[in-house]
Amino acid sequence: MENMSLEDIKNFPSVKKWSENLLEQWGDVPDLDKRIGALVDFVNYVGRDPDKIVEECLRQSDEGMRIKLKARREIIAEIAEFEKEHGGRRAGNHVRSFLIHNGIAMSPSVEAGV
Amino acid sequence: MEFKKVVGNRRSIRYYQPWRDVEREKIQTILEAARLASRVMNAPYPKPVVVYRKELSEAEVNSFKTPTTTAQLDMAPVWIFWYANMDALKDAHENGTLHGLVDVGALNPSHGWSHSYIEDIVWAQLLHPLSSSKEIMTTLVSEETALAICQALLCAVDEGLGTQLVSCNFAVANEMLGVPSNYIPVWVQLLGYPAEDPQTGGQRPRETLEEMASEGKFGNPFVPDPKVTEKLREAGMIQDTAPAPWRQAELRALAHMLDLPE
Repeated sequence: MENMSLEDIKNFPSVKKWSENLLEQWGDVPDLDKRIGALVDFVNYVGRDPDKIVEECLRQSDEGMRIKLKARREIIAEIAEFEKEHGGRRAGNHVRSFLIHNGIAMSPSVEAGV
Repeated sequence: MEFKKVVGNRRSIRYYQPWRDVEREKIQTILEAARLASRVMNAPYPKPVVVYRKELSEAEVNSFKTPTTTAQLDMAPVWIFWYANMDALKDAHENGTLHGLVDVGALNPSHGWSHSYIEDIVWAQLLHPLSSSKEIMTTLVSEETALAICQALLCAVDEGLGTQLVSCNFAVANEMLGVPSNYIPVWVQLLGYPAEDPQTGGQRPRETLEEMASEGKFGNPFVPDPKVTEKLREAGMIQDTAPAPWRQAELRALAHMLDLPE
């Protein structure tokens, strides 16, 4: 995959869904482009587009959409690696938020000594 | 706190102050509340194991986590693993608890109870066959343990704590905690001081009382008396329904404070 830009990534349905859900959840998101920018860094880091990342974690079953547990574990590990090298926890959380708002539930660790 | 207020204040708390320990005295009080809960045939169903997060290594803490039960386990300083005893009926028979109910005047001849009824009929023909059925015992011991857990939850609220029931990686928990094979996991109860508003901005939206309860015949709604409803509101049992107007701002602030995703 060729490196993506902010404008490239905004057209992906999964990114549109994320943006819409963020606005619906929080009312306003003044730093939306910064959040999407963190996702741009992540997709370029892993070399897969955002729709592909979501698709990898979900599968259609007779009962509806299901989460692929192994794929979710793998993406959680990829985010943990990514945030160590690119923008820290805040950037990692933007990527987690993208996945959460696309239906892939996850919850990160919390530093117990905060 | 008044009982009605405790019931009205209970919420599942999902944000805890990770830096603040829970006093052991409060944990003991919660366990006592559970021990005194209703239990059929007075059998020993619940078997809680109290675990302190700070006494575990980071690797151990992480091994309990599931992808969606991660942040809470990091934040809550105390985890009570609630197990249910699959041999509870057999134990109650062997240790004399069943017969003890006659001795202490709980099960009496006025209601048809006697030592020989318990031994020859209740145990021999009912409980002993039941206790050999894994399917029936799984349902029974889980439900009876849940009664104890309910009292533990309410007691935690009364003690000013936040609490919530979660799942975890029980395969790891069973091994790490040394749980014998005749115990099955029911819930993990988290305890800690809430980092969020303890009333979480209001009671969760639920069906109405008349939608839930019938009177006389199934489907015939139990219509609440508005005066009673008002009394319960004054006592704090019925409270405003969530969300409060400030709740989203609180959630955002919590996410920032604890470094969680939005």
